[in-house]
Amino acid sequence: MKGRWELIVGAVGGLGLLAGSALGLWWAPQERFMLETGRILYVHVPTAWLSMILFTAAFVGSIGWLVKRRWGFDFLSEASVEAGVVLGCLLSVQGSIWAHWTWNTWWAWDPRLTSVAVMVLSFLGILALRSFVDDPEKRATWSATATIVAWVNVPFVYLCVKWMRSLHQGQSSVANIDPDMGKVLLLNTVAVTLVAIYFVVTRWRIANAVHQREFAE
Amino acid sequence: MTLLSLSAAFAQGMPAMHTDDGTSHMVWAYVATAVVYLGYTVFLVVRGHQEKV
Amino acid sequence: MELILESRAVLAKELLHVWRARARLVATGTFALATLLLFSFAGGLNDAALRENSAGYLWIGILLASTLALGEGLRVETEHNAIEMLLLLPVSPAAIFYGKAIGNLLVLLLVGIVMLPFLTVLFDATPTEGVGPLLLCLFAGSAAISAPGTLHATLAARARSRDVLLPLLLFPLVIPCVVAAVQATHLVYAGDPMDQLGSWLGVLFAFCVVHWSVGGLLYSRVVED
Repeated sequence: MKGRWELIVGAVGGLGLLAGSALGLWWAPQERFMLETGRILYVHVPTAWLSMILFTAAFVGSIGWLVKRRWGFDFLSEASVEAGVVLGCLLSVQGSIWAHWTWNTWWAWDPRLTSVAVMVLSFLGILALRSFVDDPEKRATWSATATIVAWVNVPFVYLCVKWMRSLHQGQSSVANIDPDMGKVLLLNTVAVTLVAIYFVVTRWRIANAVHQREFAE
Repeated sequence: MTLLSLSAAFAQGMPAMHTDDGTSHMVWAYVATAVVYLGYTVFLVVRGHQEKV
Repeated sequence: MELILESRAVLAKELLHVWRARARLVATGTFALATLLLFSFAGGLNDAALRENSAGYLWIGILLASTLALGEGLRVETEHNAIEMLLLLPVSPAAIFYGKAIGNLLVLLLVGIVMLPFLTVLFDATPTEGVGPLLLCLFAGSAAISAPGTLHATLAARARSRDVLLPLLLFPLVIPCVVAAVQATHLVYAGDPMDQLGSWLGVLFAFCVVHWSVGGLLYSRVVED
């Protein structure tokens, strides 16, 4: 466990998330329109923020591998894609629960949620690709290529869904954010970022260990 | 894109159809969140042991 | 320019392949028509609903047919290691990409055109805005599917489980172009009072610009050894 600084970072983040969630559930004021479900903000927004970071980290890792051909970049990409899929699924579940309360339907074609769902599908495809390629270098190069194309595609997904649904949606209203809400949100966002660092660094080390094993054989 | 605008984006103007104040839905949402974060942590710890990280 | 000359040569080779395997092309077209029939049964007996959704059926049919067409385009290369030979000639990887992608575009366009009269017959859909805009939509949508399709078909062909991998990789990617192509085609069929056709075609054009450039840049990484 020597030199595993990410354990401390993760522990701090985890505690912060626990505290922030408790505050969000009990202390923070109720939101005017969304009543109790407004509390989903404190876990949904940080998770969304985290997903964006992870997808972008995968993109950066992919570019890094293609340009520099250093294995650390491939491990970053692999770690970020996996964590991104997990958190993207969570995001969709949270959004679905909220949609069920608000509109009595299990899915809302909100452009952001839909973009996340499409990204999760794209990244699942990339995880499948990784498992179907045996040669490590080809695996790194091809998944890097697929990740870059998937990431570049995100603005189009968002734009198309937004335009398509804007013909059917009502007017958007802006929720008022109480300053107390803002504080809890900030706490959870910072906490979740620390947890993300723990996830990626740990998964990076696992990928590194697997790689060493593959090359030793 | 600020944190506030991210959070504000989830309030949409369609007529709401809720019948309660949403507490049970919130419990489920937080439980799902805890399960996923904890579950993935456990997965990483187990995998880490397997690979002797 | 060398890239144009090489791409043209690769395109000629692709079209020759397609011509030689035209029985398979007919089969692909028949497959697309079969999906249209399936949609009309799955959609139920509501004629108005079928007519309303006919643009969607058209594009899902083209997308499903593309998995066959794209895969076929790569089968010959991988079976006989033809790509390695091409690279040795030397032909630049980008030229191979553009030649193949244009070839795939033409095949998809052909499949789409063949489906159009059946769309009119089966779903009672007539293009209000005219055949010209309709063909433009077909061209734009086919181009949008063809570029990422060619890149990922090459990827999938060289990995295991290639039949499963291509749709798995491609379908999430082309969601925006299916959305845009269906909206644009629907406007052509149902009428476009608010002049939205231009915007949707614009999205398709932007999608094509991005994916045709990115594909050309990244193709070398996919074919190299």
